[in-house]
Amino acid sequence: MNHIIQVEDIVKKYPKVEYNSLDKVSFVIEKGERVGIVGLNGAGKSTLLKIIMGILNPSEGTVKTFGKNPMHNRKQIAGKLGVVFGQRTQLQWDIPVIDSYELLGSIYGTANIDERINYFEKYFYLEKILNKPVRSLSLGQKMIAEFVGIMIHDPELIILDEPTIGLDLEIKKKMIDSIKNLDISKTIIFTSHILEDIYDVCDRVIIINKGKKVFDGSMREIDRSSTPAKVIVTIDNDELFLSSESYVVRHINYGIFEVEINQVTEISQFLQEVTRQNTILNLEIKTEKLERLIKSLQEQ
Amino acid sequence: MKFIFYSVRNGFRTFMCQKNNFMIYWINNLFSILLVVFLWQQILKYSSANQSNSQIVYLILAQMILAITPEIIYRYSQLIQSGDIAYKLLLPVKFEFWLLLDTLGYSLAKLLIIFPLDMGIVFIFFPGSLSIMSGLLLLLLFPMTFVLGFTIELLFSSVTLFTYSVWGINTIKSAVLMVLSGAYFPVSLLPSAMKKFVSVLPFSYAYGQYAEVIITPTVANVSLLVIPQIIWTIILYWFYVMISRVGFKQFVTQGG
Amino acid sequence: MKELKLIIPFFKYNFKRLQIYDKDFYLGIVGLIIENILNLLMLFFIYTLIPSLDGFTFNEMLLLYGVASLSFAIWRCLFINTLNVGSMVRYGRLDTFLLRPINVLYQVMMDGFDDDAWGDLVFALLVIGYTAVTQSINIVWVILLIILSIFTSLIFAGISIVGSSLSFITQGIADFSQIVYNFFQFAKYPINIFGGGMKFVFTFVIPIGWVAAIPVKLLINHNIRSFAFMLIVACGISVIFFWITTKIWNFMLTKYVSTGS
Repeated sequence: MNHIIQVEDIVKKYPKVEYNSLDKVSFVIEKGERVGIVGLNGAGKSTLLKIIMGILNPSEGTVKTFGKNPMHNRKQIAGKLGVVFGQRTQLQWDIPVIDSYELLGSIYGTANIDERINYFEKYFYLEKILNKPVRSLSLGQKMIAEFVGIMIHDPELIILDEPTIGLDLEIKKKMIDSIKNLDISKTIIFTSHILEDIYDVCDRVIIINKGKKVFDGSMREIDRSSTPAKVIVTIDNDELFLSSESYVVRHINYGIFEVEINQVTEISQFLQEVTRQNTILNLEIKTEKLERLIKSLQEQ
Repeated sequence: MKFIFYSVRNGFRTFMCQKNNFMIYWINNLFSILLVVFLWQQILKYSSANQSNSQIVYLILAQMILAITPEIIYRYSQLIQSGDIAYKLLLPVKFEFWLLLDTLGYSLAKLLIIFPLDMGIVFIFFPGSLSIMSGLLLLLLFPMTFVLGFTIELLFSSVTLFTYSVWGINTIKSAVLMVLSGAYFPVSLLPSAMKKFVSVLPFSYAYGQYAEVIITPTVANVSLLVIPQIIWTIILYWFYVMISRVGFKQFVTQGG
Repeated sequence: MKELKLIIPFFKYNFKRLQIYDKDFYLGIVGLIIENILNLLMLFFIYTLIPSLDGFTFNEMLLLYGVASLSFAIWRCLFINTLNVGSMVRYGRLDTFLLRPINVLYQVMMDGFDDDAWGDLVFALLVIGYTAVTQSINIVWVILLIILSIFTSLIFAGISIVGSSLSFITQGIADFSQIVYNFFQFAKYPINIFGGGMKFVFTFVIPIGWVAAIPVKLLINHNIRSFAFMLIVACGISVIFFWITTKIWNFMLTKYVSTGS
């Protein structure tokens, strides 16, 4: 009976459009679970989250968050909830971040916000951010400020809707580290349209495609399934040398090649080979894991 | 030529795409007319002024042109603050000319929905107050009246190059128009000193005097409207160019 | 009530935001002074044509203007943000409000200040003060009129609340909250100048007649007993009207379909 979230046969239809709708989705999330919800853009992830948070009513089905109907107990649930919406903000853009934190602290009745800020200090250099108005922050700093903002009241359920969108690698890593190291009693829901992003944080993954749940299982199960990858290599001349001939190479432009690799695990071997014989200007690895995974799940 | 057509059309479509605009402008216009009609019926009943019906029709017409004249102050400041003005300044035509055409399209759409309402009110409640000649002048004099109204708006808008308080400028503009446009208070009924004051200012020629000419269409009246309209449009536009030149310069150096 | 305790933090927060734009504050003040003066000038011009309007002399009309303006200025101080609900819905800000453990309408009210409104408030009080002195109105009645205005601002609030709640069912596209400005215009004049239908509406349906026209008329007619009685009625009507409109707002909020991203 300790389900944090319980959804049963949720259906959500939007008039005219199929985009973002949901079709008979059910699952249960227990306390302390770290669940990644992935799906391509428009698959219905945000719709699902909104229903869980109680700001959207499903057309059919039941949902319970902290054992209660979130629509009718929204305020009560909100106190235990922290949400990052990818492109929206809790913070006022024209005043220093710390002022917004103080207000948030008072809204949620948090006695000591300094303690909370100190806790996150070890992951991010908050000192640099706190006294600046939000509008003068970089995209990454803004997201950090936003993330710390929703953690001010130490919520039990943390919902992160595409928090890594548009972030550079370094900040992404810092943020993922801080999420990973949160108290184990916290329940985390993390959505992304990139499978790799939730890799480090989540132990369970739910895949939504076109409004349907197509996969629900542990992260390891997915890992086992093989996925091919593509590497885009840019070199200083127009001839790519490779000793092995098992790769499919496509010439894209002057000095730019696309190489298909059958297994993700072979990437490191390929990289060794390619760097030995060529002068690399740029490398980009694309796994398209999610797209392929969804495809293979549908074929089963 | 094509540019003119497409700009006007896009402005027209912008209005038509927002269906709720219909309701909002209808309600706004209807409420303003209800207020001036009831208030002035009461005033005219007890005052010595005669021809009370034609004064009421005058007010309805003036309210109509007031509702149709574009409100560009917010739009102008938005273009500046978002930086979108950079694109507009790169157009091979004058930015102000584009704005005029675009708002003309928008205003024509407004006219399309407000005109039947207002004419309906006039013909049902004040039959026989408008002649065919009036109708003809209503159309003929509209373009120049619109251009003057637009230029007045443009001049107020140029102040937004110097301040963020768009609301403040808009308030001042509305207040000035309330007293000096003749759309709320017939110019002919103002105290004589005030009447003189209003007649040497541009505002009434874009609103009240237009309505006056339509209810009493004489050659003298028409020329007393059109000549000041042309002169004022030139003067105000010149003022606008002077102000905006300074404003844009400051804008560019700040790198906003 | 948690919301009451939060008033101070919200005030502090909003004042900090105001300090950033102090330069523009003065233009706003200049704008509203000009607006108020020109409004009074218009009234003055009307009285150059007639000696009285529905039994109101110029000075009595000033009192009517002052009381209606005071009520509207209080609305502006507390409820002006209801005009922005449409854009809050469109840009997803309302979702953020929904995810906090306090009342949504309250958060809308506290979402920034309209600093110019305080100037309007002062101007309205000055007008009331001036007429109270020239008309030698008992200070008790003046104080009661001010208290009345606090209540009747709820009538304007009700109008803008219902108008803005339409944005909930139209994804923020249709927003009729601006209509409150039209009703303010009506509230500044004696209710008897309007036709029977409008008079009925302004008394019983959208009760803006109670903002100033009905009570002030009784006061200037020296009908003190019914004035005092009608004050209580006016406060009651304001509270009931506001209560009904918040019910409509809450109902519309449950119908709200978030735009989705």
